[in-house]
Amino acid sequence: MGDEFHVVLNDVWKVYRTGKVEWPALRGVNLVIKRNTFTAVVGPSGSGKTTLLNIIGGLDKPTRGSVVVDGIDITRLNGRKLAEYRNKYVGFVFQLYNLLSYLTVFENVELPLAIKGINFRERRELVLKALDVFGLRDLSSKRPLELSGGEQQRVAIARALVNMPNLILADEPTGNLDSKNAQVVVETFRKLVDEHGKTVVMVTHNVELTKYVDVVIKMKDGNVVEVINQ
Amino acid sequence: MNIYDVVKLAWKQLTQRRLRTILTILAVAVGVMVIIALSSHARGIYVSFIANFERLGPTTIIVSSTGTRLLSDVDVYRVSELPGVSIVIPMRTLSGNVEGLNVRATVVGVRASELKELLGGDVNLLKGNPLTDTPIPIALIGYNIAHDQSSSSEVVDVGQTIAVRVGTRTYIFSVVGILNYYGSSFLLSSPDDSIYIPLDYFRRVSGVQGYSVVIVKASDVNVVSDVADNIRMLLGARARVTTVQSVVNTFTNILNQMNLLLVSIASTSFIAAGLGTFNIMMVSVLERVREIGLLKALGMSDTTVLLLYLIQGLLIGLIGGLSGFGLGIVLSQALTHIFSLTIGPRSPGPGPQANPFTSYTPVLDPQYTLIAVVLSLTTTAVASIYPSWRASKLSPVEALRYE
Ligand SMILES: Nc1ncnc2c1ncn2[C@@H]1O[C@H](COP(=O)(O)OP(=O)(O)O)[C@@H](O)[C@H]1O
Ligand SMILES: [Mg+2]
Repeated sequence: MGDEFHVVLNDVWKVYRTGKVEWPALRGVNLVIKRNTFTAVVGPSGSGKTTLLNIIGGLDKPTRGSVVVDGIDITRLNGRKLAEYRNKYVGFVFQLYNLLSYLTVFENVELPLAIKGINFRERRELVLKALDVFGLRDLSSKRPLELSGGEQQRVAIARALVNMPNLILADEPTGNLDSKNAQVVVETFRKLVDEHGKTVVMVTHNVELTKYVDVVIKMKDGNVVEVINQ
Repeated sequence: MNIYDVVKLAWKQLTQRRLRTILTILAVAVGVMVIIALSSHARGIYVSFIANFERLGPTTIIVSSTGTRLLSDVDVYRVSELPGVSIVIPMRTLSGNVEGLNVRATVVGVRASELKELLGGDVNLLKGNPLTDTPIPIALIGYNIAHDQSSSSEVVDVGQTIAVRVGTRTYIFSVVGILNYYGSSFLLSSPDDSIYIPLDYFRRVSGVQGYSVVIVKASDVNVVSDVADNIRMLLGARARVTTVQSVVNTFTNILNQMNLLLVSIASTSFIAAGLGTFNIMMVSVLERVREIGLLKALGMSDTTVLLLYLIQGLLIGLIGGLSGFGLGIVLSQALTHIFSLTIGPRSPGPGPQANPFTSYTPVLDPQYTLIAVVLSLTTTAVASIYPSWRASKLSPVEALRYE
């Protein structure tokens, strides 16, 4: 498979066990995501969208199958390598922002760089750059709870980007936002793909937003049922 | 992630839950404080005790008569002939009240030439002249007799006379000299509360032959116990033989046991501190499940997460230990004050205080200080191992799903 594919899933299964009950959340997913595209994952609740994203992002391991990202089979990585993979290759954006309330905006965005072990001076430069992209510099010493939902999600996106990963995974990033802020977020992702060469995969319930994306993946009962190239 | 950043993040998490953190730090501090304060008092007593004994010298053996029969000149002679004995100082003592001044005093009859040994090598005169061997009523008096207890002003001067009442009799002495302040003494009465008179006069006026106390000095530290045994054999039940060495040893043992008891008592407060630390670390981890999931999603390794929480435990221990150390010093000073209020006023005069059990200076015990600090760190570290391990093992997916 060529370099054109950023993410390749091959017969991926995820079976959750609760006591003696087994529940297959993913049932043999085969999927490729091209580099430098904006993909939306849609489907009913419980269809396995979050599970899919977590597996691509190395937060969870599939029960079976292989997941190759940027040429690396991440199912073969040990815990430490997987953590390193998450830090360097992936930027996560969540529905609930997941900002740390006791850190300032600046410190929240700085976190992935600190985890990576980047030195202080370089860190400052990169954080300010990321904040500038989203017009957040003036808020840098504020705490997350002093910001609006839209601002918080922009901070979370800045945090996802600060390490300059090529792959952005967003799980219902607009779920808590009004339509205006939701639009801003999706336009931001669009810009990241068009101007910065990133690959963005976004889970969404909002059909309105799919008009911004290149590919729509429809899921049902743990399977990809349709891939629409727009 | 470099360690500085981990410590910084750990610190921010701790300060986010300020009250809870402070309470746990306090629990640790109390244990350290108790150990520091009490051990420095124990050490203070010990140091002042040892200082008193060092004045007598390590070769000193004190022989005191037990029954009504005093030790005779023959006894003294036979003791002086024992191998390993270098000096024998016979004396008579009586205790009485100084009339007009209303202070208790010990009247000590001693040969002028031997007073030096009794006072630890030096007759330290504040004013007047030294004692001489004459059969007339002259006296060299201690600091506390010549000075008022509360105001420290001089109440008896050289050339004046003092009357000492012993039982029904009253003795009159002419003061030839006043001693400088010495501080307390253990096996003998303190020089500060003593009136030294010529032995010859004492024998003449009391009409009784013999000695109540004989101080023996061995020629070498190594023969002290042999000499003491020989004296016991010689005098049998008529005398009690005490060596400075054995008293020091006994006292050292008592102090060590006291400190052991102290550490065990303080340990219970460390158990409380440990449980407290375990509790807040556990609550902290459970409260931060989502957050830990996020840190892992951002690429923090399990080891770093483990470290993040262990460091929080260690910070609690470190701050608790340091503040306990400070509080311990404050408490030991406060205790000194309280003791002196409840047990009575300090004796007047410069230098070390008269009664080492009521008025000593607490001395920081390095060994127990170290024990206290190590205990505080290990307690909190051990208490945070399990919560930290739990945090490091959290699955990021579960954690992020957690509401
Ligand atoms: N840890 C888990 N244990 C058991 N079942 C789970 C677990 N996580 C997800 N599931 C189940 O897997 C299915 C897919 O979940 P998810 O990927 O979250 O769906 P979506 O994001 O599309 O709503 C659901 O039926 C869910 O109940
Ligand atoms: Mg979901």
